[in-house]
Amino acid sequence: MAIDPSMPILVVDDYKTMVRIIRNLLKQLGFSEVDDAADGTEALQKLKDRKYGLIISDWNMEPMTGYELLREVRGDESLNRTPFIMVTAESKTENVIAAKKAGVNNYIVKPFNAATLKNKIDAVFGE
Amino acid sequence: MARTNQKPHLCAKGAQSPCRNRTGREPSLANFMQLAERMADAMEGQQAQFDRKVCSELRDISADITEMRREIERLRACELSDRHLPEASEDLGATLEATSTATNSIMECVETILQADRENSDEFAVLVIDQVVQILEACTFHDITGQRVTRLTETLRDVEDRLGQFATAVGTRAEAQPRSAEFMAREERRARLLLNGPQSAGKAISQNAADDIMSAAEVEAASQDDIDSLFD
Repeated sequence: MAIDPSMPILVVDDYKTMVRIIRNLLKQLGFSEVDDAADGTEALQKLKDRKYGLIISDWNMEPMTGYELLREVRGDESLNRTPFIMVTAESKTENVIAAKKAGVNNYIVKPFNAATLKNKIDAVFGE
Repeated sequence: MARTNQKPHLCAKGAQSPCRNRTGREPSLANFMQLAERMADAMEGQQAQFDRKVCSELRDISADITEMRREIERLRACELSDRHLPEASEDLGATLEATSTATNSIMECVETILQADRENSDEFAVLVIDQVVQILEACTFHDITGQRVTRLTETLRDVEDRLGQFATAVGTRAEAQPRSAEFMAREERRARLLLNGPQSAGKAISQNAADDIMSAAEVEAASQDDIDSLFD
């Protein structure tokens, strides 16, 4: 699957600085359509309103976590093929295993760098 | 009890009275009075014994309270609530504010560089150096926040020590204290949704280890039931 740099990407994080960092990194990687949501609930609403090519989500958010968002996305026929990358400070093995079992496409441990983000996006799209 | 000369009607006429004495005669008021006085004497003795036990218990309780007061004084709770904890709260607030301000300053500089016109390399170089200097200036927050966090850590250690000594002195058991429903609900959510938070160095999984798990075939074989069980 080739990466379309114009595909809309949804960044989900309750920490505005992190949204800003990921948005800037994505722009540097050539992605121009970056949208954001502050938690899983807001993300789900945005996912219903618009078709996104990639979801990049934090895990620990209120009221709906990234883990719950992942389960909701994978349980919804209209969304379950959307690539999902978890970018999180949840750095226990059980978290990675649980995310994988729930159908995450890739997992990035914070803190991370631009190269890691690029590698994981490339891996998700098979490049 | 008020004494009276009137003979009371104790039992119904002709009925087998449970009030009759051993001789089969109805007891007189004098008999009742004697009985009442004997009972009062007996109870007085028991009352005195009971009073001695109560006094002994009260003395023990008083001694415990005195000891408890002494331990509370050693805890210096007023010092904590008047000075250390407000200072810690202030340090935390100031640290958050300083990191937030510095982060915003750095982000603005970075975005200015990223969005700058690169056609004229000389102008671009001047702009980059100017922004980098501003980034360096913003990083000076670390010295002050570092000192504040150090003070916070010391306060927390102090509180931990004092509470530990207090708990040992008064013989409390942690498991004896019931947790609030709010606390239990929060803990249940944390456990159910694997909200472990950032791990300290050495405990946190590396990106390479996360990659290994992501590429491990056996994890992929999990059924929907396995996933659901994580939420049960």
